[in-house]
Amino acid sequence: MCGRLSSSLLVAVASLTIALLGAACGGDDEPPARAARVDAGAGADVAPQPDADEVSDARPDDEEASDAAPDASLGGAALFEEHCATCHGASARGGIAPALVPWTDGRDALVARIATSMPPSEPDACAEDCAASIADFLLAGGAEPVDCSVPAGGRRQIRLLNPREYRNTVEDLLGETRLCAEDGECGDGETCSGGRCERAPCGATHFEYDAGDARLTSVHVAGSFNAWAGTIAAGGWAMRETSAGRWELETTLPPGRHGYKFVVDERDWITDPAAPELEDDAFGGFNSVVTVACETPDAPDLATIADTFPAAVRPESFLFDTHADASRVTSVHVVEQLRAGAELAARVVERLDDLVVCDRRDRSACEAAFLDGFAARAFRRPLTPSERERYDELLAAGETFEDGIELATRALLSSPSFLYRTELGELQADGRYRLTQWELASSLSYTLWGTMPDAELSRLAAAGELGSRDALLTQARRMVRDPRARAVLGVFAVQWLGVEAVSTAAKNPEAFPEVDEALRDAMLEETRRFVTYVAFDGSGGFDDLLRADFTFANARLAALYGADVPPAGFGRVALTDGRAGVLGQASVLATYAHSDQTSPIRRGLFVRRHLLCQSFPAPPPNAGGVPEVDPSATTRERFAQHTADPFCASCHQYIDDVGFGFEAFDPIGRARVEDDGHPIDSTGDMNDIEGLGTGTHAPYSSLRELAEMLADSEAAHACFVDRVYEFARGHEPDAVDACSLAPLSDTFAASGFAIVELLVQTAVSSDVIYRRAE
Amino acid sequence: MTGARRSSQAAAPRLSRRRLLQSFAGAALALPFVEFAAGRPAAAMDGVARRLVVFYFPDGVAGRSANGEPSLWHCTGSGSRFELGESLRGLSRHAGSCVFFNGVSMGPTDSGSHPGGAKKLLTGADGGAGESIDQHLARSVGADRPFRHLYLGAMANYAGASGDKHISYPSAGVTIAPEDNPALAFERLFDGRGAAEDPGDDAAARRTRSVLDTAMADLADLRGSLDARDRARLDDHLDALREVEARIATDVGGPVGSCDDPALDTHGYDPAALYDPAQFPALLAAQTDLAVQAMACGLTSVAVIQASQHTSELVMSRFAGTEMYDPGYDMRSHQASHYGASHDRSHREFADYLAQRAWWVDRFAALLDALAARPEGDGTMLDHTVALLCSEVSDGNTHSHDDMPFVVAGAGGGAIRTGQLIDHGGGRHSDLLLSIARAMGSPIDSFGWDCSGPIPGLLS
Repeated sequence: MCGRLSSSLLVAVASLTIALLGAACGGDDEPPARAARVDAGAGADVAPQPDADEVSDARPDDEEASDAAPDASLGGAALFEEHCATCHGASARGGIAPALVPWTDGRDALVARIATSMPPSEPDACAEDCAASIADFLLAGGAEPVDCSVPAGGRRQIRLLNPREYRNTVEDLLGETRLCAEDGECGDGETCSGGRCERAPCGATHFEYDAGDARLTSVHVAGSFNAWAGTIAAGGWAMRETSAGRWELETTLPPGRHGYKFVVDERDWITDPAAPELEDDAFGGFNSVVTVACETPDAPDLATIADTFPAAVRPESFLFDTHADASRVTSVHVVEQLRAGAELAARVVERLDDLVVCDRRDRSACEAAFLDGFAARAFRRPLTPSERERYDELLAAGETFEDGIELATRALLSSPSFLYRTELGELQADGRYRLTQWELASSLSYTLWGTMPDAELSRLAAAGELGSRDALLTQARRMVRDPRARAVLGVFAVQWLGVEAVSTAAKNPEAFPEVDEALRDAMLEETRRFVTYVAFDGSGGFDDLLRADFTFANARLAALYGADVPPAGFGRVALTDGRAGVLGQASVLATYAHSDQTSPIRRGLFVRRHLLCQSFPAPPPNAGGVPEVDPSATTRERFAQHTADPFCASCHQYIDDVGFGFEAFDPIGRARVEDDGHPIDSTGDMNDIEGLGTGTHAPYSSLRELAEMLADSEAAHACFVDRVYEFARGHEPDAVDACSLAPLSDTFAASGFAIVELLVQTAVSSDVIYRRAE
Repeated sequence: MTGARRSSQAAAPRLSRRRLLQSFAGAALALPFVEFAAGRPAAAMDGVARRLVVFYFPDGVAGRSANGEPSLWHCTGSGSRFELGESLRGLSRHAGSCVFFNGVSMGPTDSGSHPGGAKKLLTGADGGAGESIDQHLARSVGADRPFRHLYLGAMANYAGASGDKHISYPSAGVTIAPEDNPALAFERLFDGRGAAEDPGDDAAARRTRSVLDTAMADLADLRGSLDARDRARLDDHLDALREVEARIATDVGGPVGSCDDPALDTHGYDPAALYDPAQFPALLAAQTDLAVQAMACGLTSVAVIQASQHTSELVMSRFAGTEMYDPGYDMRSHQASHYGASHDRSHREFADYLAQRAWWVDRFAALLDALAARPEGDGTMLDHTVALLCSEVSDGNTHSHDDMPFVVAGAGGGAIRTGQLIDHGGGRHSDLLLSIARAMGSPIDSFGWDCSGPIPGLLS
C-alpha cells in the first residue's frame, strides 16, 4: 500500500489523503478504505519527494519489486508472491503494508480492492481474474504450509563453473595451487589476494628512508600519484619507522613514470637518496622519479587465466557469483574456454612427467594412465565408456604421445562435463535422486573450497566411503581446516556485504585524491581477512563480525583509520574511533556512499537488505531529486524531509534512521567529526529490527550501539543462514527449501552462532544428498 | 572528445555543434518546420537491411514533465514536415536518414521502473519474458555471419551489474553481459581470438574442430540425463559451440561493407581503468568504432552497443571538454534524470540532464557519421543499415513507459522510409521491433507482447 505509487496516486496521496496513509503505514491490521484515484492533472504541485536515485540505485538488489504483468493463469500464490509479498510480507501477515490474513471484510470487497487499486504503482494491472485468484488465496489463509516431514531434497540442476571456480579448478588440476599461509603470507614476488597467492601486481614498490639519528615524528611519500599531498591527512602515504631511524612503505604504483618526494615531519620536502632517477622539480630542486613498466610474463599465470571469461550473471537481488541458472554459455564463453584450454594443454604437456605417472615406453599404458588420472580428475568422476572411446581416439590421433595429450586435454577442458558441476544423482524408489559418491565429493569441495575434490575426497569416493552423513561430516570438518575454506569464506564475505563494487565505485578525485587501486584493493582485503579471522581464528561467532573492536589493515588503510601502522603488510589493528565490525570497514562505508557525499539511504538499505534480509519496493516514479534545501544543511538535515512527509516516511522510516548511524564516516570511510562545518549526529532508531511492521523502536546513539543490536538480532542470525545457503546452493530458498533452512538455523543457534559450524552443516544438509526433479 | 573522431570528418558537410547551438539560440521554440528529403530511393536498394545496430543509453530523456510541460525530446509536426525536438538537434544532419516517433508505448506494466523498462525494451515482453529482437535476428537472418551477435558495452558492467542491467535476452528471463573491454573485443573479432586459430592454418583448424566435436558429443551424453530447463541451457551451449565451429570451418564470404584494415583506436583511454568515468567518452567511441568495423567487414549483422546501464551512476560531469564538465561537482546520469517536477533550466539537475541527453544524441550521430562515411554498393553503409537509438524509460523523472524515445536511422537497404515523423498513437513498441525484424528480412508475423503488426508507414 505504501510502496510504489503511480504519479497520479502519489499526488493524491501527498495532497489529499495524508492522514489515511499515515494510518495505513502505521501497521494497522485493517487495510484503509480505498483511496480515491485522483488525477492530479497538469500543473499540480508535487510535494518534495525523496531522492529516488538514492533508493533505486542501491545495487545490486535495487527495484526488486518490479515484475511482470500479473498473469491470471498463475495461481493466486504465485501472483501474490510476485506482486504483493514485497510490501505485505511473504506470508501476507504484514510488512511495510498491512497484514491481509485474516481478512474479515468479505470476498467482494477484497477482489474489488485488488482489482481497482493494487498494486499501487499500477492500479489497473491486476483486474478481475487476477484479483479473484489472489483474493481466494488470501481467504484460504495464504500460503499452504509445506509439510517438512516429507523430505523433498534440493534442486537437481547442473551448475556452470564461474570464472573463480574455473581458475581454482585448473590450478588444482595442474597441481599449481598456491594458497596463502595462515598469516596471509606468500612467497617472494607474490601477494595474497582472497586467500590465494598471486604474482605480485606489476608496480609493487618499496620506499625506504634512512633518517640516521634524527628523531622524526613522521615521514610520508608525496608524489604525482597522490596529488603531492603535503600532509598525511590530505592523503600523503605514511611511512612506518620499522627500526630506529629507518622508515619504510610497501605499496603498488600504477604503470608509468611517477615523480615523488619524501616529506619529513610534514614540513621538509626531500629527495629520496635512493631514487633511481631525478628530475628538475621547478622549484630549484629535484624530484625523485620511479618508473613502473609492466612486462607480460612468458608463462601464463593460472591465477588470471579466467579473468577474460564473461562474469557470472547475477539475477536481480541475488548477491553471489554462484547462481545456478543465470549464466548461459555464449560464443564468447566458448572462445575463452578454447583459449584457456589451449594454454593449459601446453602447460600439461610441459609438465607431463608430474601429471601422468607411467612408463613412457608404453604409449597405450600412458594413455590409459592419463584417462584414469588426469581426465577423471578433470571430470570429477571416472569417464563413461563412450567418453573413454572418444578420448582414446583423440589420443591416438596425436602424432606423438605428447601431441595426443595436448589435443585430449584441450577437449577435456571444453567439455560440459568439465565446465559444469553435474551433481544430478541417481533415481530412488521414492522419486528423489541421490547423489553418487563422486557427486557428493564434488558438492562438498565446491561448496566449502570453491574447487574440485582433493585426493582424499576422491579416494573416499572411489572406495564408496562417502555415503553416510557421518562420513560427509567428518570430511567437512577436515575441509574447513584447510586454507581453501578460508579463501571461500573471504569470497562469501565481500559478496554478502556487496562490497566488491568498491574496486570501481567512482570517487571524486579532487575530494579524495588518496583513492587509488591499491587502497581499493586494501579495503577488500581487509574485509576478507577480518571475516576469515573472526570465523577461523577469533571467537568464531557471528556476533563478532558486527561487534569486533579490531580489524586488519595495511599501511594505507591504517592511515585512513588513524590507526597504528602494522609491522608489515596486513596486521591486526585496534579501532578507537567508534568503528565496529564490518559496519565500520571502509569497503562498506565507501560502497554505500556516493562519489562525493555520504548516503544514509544506501547505508540504511544495506543493513535492511544484506544483514536483515528485509526487502523494499522500488521508490515510486516521480519521486523527484533531492529537494531544494538550504545548502548549508547537513546531509542528515537534507534527508530528514523523508520522514517529514508521511508518504515518503512509509518506507524511509525504516531506512534513513538506520543510515544515520554511519554519519560519523565520510564517503571513503574516514572518521569525521563534522559534516560541512556542522557537528555529526549519529543517533537513530533501529526500528522493527525483527520484522517490518512490528512497530518496535530501538534508539541508538552511535554506530557501535547499532552494531551491537544487529549482533544480537534474531533476524540478522536467520538472514545470515539464508545468505550462506544462497551462496552454497546458487538460488534463493523457496517454501520447500525452507524445510532445509529451519534445522540449519537451529544448529547455528545451538552452536552459539559459530560461522564455521554453519558452513559445515550447510555443506552436508540432507538437501545436498537428495535432489528433487524439476 | 567531441570532434576527435576521424570518421566524422569524412561525413557530409554539416554544422558543428557550436554553430548549431548558435543558430538555434534564442529561437528554440519558434523554428519553422523543415521539410526533410527522404533517404535514397528504394529502387537503388535490395529492399532488405544488411545489419542492425542498437545504441542504448540510460535513464531516459526530458519528456513531458510531471507538471505537464511538453517534451523536449519529441518532434512536432507530421510526416516529412516536422521540427526536431530540442534534444534531438544533434541529429539534424542525419534527419533525412532517420525516422522519429511519437506515441510509441511499452505498455503499463512496470511503468515507473527502470529495470522494468530495460526488460521490455528489446524483448517487447513484460518482465523480459521473451527473446530480444537482437537475439532473434542473430539466430535467424544473422546466423550466417561468423559472429551472430556482437554485444559491446561502455561501463555496462559497472559495479558488478546484476542481470537486469543488461538488455539482450537470448531467451525469456535470461540476459547476457556485454564486453566492456574494447581491446578484448578487438582481439576476439579481428585477432584470431574469436576463432581461436590463426586463419589459414588448416592443421590447427582441424584440431580445434575435433576439440569442438568432442565437446558436442559429451554434451549430447550429458543432455540425456537432464531435466527440461537444463536441456534448454545445454541447447544454448550447443549453439555457441556450433557458431565457433562455423568460424573455423569456412571462409565466410569476405567483407560486405567497406572493410579496411581493422585497427583498435583507443581514443586515448587507459586500459587499466575501464570504469573511470573520465574515460567513458573514449571507451564508447572505441566500442562504436569496433561495431562499425566489424559490420563493415561482414563479421556480424547484429550489434548492440550498451552505454552504461539503467539507473546509471556514471559521473557525466567528469567528461572533459564537454559542457557537462565540472570536476568539482559530481553529476550522475540518474541523479540528473530526477530533475524535479518541471523543466526548470535554472535547476542544476535539469540543465545537466539536457546537456547529457544532447551528448548521447551526439554519440548516436557520430555512429551514423561513421556508417555514412563508408561506401557500400551505390551508397553508404548507413543506407543498408537499421540503427536504433533507445533508452529504458521515457521521461527520466516520471519513468513513464509511454512516448518512448526511439529513433530509427538508416534506410535499411530501402526497407525503411526515412525522413519522417510517425505518430504510433500509443501503440506498443513490439510493433517497432517487428518492423525492424521485417526490414532485416525475418518473415515473422509477430514479436513480443501485444504486437499488432509493423508500424504503418515505416516500411517501404
